[in-house]
Amino acid sequence: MIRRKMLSLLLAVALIVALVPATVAGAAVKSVNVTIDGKKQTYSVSPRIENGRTLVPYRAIAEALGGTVSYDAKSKKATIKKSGQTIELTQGSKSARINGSAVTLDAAPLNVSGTLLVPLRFVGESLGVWVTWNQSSSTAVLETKRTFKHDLGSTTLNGVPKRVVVLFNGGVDISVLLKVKPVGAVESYIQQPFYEYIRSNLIGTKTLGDETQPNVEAIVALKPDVIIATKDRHEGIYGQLSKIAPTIVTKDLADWQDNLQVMSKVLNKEDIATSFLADWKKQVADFKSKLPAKDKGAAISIIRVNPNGTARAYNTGFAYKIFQELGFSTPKAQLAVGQEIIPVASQEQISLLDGDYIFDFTTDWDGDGAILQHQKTWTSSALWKNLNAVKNNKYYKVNSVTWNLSGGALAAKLMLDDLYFYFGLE
Amino acid sequence: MIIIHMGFGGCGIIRYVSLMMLVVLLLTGCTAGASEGKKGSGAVVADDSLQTDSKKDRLALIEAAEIDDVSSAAEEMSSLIKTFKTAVESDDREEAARQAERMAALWKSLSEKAVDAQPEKLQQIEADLVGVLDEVAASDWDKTRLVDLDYSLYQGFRDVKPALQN
Repeated sequence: MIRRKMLSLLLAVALIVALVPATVAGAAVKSVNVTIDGKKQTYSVSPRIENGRTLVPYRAIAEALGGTVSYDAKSKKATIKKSGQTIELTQGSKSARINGSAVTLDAAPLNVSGTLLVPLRFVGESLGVWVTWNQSSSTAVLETKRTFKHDLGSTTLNGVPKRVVVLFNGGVDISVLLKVKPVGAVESYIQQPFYEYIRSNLIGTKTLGDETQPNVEAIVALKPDVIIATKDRHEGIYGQLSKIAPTIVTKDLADWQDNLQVMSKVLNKEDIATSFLADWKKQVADFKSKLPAKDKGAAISIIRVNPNGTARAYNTGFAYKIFQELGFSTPKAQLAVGQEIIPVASQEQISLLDGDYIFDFTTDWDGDGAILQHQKTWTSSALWKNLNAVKNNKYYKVNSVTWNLSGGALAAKLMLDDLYFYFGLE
Repeated sequence: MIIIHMGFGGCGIIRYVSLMMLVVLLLTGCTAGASEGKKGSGAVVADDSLQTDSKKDRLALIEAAEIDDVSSAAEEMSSLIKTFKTAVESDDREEAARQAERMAALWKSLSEKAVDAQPEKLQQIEADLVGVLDEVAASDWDKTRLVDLDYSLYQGFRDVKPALQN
């Protein structure tokens, strides 16, 4: 009886010992799938994850996409030609060349049984296909074309665009975030050619006139392979633009998060957008958690003085959306008007500008100070000094570029950072 | 043109040259104005060109802070820029003056370490600090201007800070 029990115990231990390594090995070598336009691919050497990087067989993928590959065993260099593009890779080196320009890979190409495995991201960058990673099915999803449905139609792109034209300032900011230098972009409203906070990233980008009236001839001359426009500004010229190049139209000039998502999908930069938006959500949560109880839900008045000397309050737009996301409210008197932009023509209506806080992004458009004189006239009046926000030292003149004129993702982050200053948060 | 010029005689030439100079001045003035407008900063505080030597001296009189760790000093500066606004808004003049001096002392050391920062950013921060020191010393306290200057300082230092953390 005892001997039988001992034998059972030994067998059980042996079974556990035999199973453990198999489980560990199974966890380490998780299979990686690759699809091209929805079709599952099979390779002699399987794609794999090494040190957190997804590595895929480059030659087979390049050939499946219509490229030709040659390999020099002596120099360990692979040369790939596809659609007029030449890519040079060297086994064991993170440095590569695309059309002669140096690029750096996330990880050096790996030789496994004569097959060169490269980081997944490089496949997209070098072969002009969209690449996304499906975590749940461990699948690298490659797409050779993408169709974008938007408010003004449907636009198909047959490769990740390289010659990008951006026709709104928020989009120009987003292109900088996505590390895509447009061949052409509209110029900024002030600080031309481009806003100072992004200018250094746009050296070499041609200016295409004003966002409200872009220079169509200049766009044609650039031979873009995509035009990124926005409905608010470019609905009237959409037909014209579409004849120049595939045109993708975002739905709301001020909705920087949607604009970022659309542009990241067009430009094959979804990983950057996902990471930026995750960080944004985290910072919004941090701001809300640090905001003192007295300021939670405070009524925020966003105003500006107009060139003709009148003023207005905003219940719409870039800054307004950010305040809403942060949980602030709109002054009741403004809500009662029922308009998105509330005109305030004279001092008699000045109470419409009031709130718990007033943020003023008046812009000195002409640089002659005339509008600032109008602003001074408003803020010097006895009625102004009687506003709640003013009496409580809560009237602030803010950066008109990052709070209003730009409307991009990087501007949003700067505005949110400014709010840590204004609300005294660490 | 030449015929008309000849017809003016000596006095006419002077008048003509004066007129031309006026036209040139007006034209260049207009162009610069328009150009400056296009290059407007969008910021609420500007014009460091208005600094007088006496105002600059106020900063010059402050001794640079001794810094052991650049990163900690940069964090202290960031924190001071925020608390300075609170001191101004709560009318604590003594505290605001103390913090302004500390910011200036820190900046005098930090500015030497920010070698990779854009020179114009460094100049703007210096101009803002000069403005802050001047305003906290004024008998007539302009809180709005102080907060505007502090905001400009906040934005400027945010841009320069990465160069201090490299």
